[in-house]
Amino acid sequence: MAIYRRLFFGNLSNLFARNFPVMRRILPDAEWNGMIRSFMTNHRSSTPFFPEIGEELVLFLADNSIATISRFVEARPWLPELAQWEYAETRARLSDSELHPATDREPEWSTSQPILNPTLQVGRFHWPVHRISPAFVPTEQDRAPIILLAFRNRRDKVAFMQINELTLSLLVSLKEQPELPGQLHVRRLAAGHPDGCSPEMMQAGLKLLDKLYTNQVLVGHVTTDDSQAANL
Amino acid sequence: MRQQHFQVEGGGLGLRRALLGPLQEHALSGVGFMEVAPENWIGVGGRLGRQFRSFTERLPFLCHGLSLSLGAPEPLDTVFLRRLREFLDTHGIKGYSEHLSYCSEHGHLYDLMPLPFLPETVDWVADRIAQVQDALGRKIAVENISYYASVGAEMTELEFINSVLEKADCLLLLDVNNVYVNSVNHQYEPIAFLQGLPADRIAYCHIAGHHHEADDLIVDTHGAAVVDPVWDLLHKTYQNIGPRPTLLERDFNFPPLSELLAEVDTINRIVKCYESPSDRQPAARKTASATAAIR
Repeated sequence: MAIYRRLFFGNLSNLFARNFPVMRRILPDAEWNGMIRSFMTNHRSSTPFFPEIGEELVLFLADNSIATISRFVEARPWLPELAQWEYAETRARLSDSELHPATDREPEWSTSQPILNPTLQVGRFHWPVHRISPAFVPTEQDRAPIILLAFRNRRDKVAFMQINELTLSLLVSLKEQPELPGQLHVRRLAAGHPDGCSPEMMQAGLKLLDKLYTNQVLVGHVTTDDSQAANL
Repeated sequence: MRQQHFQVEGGGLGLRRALLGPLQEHALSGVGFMEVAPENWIGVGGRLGRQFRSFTERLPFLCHGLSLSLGAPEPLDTVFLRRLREFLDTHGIKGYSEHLSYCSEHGHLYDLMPLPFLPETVDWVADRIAQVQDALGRKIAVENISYYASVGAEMTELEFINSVLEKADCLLLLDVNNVYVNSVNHQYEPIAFLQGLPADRIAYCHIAGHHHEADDLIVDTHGAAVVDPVWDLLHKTYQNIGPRPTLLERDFNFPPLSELLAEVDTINRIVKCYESPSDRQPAARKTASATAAIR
């Protein structure tokens, strides 16, 4: 059975090395191999699909009930978040949600409903996962949480963006109520802000929508008239 | 029983991500069909998804599963089966095969384990194959796997395979390289093995390269060119059962595309040797032997 142990180990090690290239380069062979062995012994993978296999390692590293892996992670506390971030990139790249067709029409946010990029992945991290590399392994967490986006753009490249809490609230609002025009989302957010719905706040909010649209975090817009026409 | 081939012809080539780029530039006139593992492509969109689609629109496709775990002790994954059926329908897949093995036991292992050759296993796996055929609405083929250890066998590999095919009323994907690999590793006579199979259930064949680790250990890696003894065995296969659509598997260590396509051409040439000229139906054994004698 020794050959089976070798074949199974080699197969999984290769699969994960392809899915987590940064992690693979950072961990010395002995540590990487130990992690894969512990995965084989302790983790029950549920997905039959190879593009989703990365999620199994993410789940495994976050599983506090496995003593060996808890100790392993304790010594490398940034590891679970790095795994999440690398897997987010894979999800954005391979997502089978297709982007809304491009339009020449400029959005008019007082009536246009923004359409979120359907490949969008959002992560909130304590470690600066987007800067981790063999040359930079963080020793302490950042003061404020880091909010990162990964999404596929119209050139089929995965793009990344760091955003603040306010932008995240806007994205959450867009996701929850896609039927509202952009301006109304901004107004609702501004209402909850200490400065309230000042003209400056409204202006800043609409600029933010434009920026997200230019960067393809938003990939289209429909006006209320369009959507009514579509319903007829 | 009538012949039950999958409706593809000649030599085929396994489509891997690494081949998408090189193959896109190519006319592919010698490639009769292609095959993918559905588990590598279900749910994949974006550029990869579109590239894949462009190939399924150009050539007939088969699917060769990796994760269904036909022999596993746990229930079949019905959600997976539903997505699989959708995928087969969406891409107009001409036939689906899986390994006569299992790859999960309380979780996926992502590799193939041999089943014990026991009457109980035959009952268990045949019943599951029948369930899969119902769920997918088509007959499936199961592959004779390469195996490196046998666990508690009460029958031979050949008896095991034949009993499963009969009981499940399914087809066989005959992996010619695996017959060779197993015949060396488990010291049996490959021709006798071929002659013992029910020819009318053989849907198509696989051929591949392997890694020669020691004189008594060959590992089925799909990472090298097909060796002469395996080409010989393909001739003998066609002699015994008639020609079948045959797919070249190459999973890594890719040579220039021209070398892979030359191997597919070799398959085409061998297939032609055993086709009866009149109707391209599988040759009668007599004709096949006559052609083989020329070689």
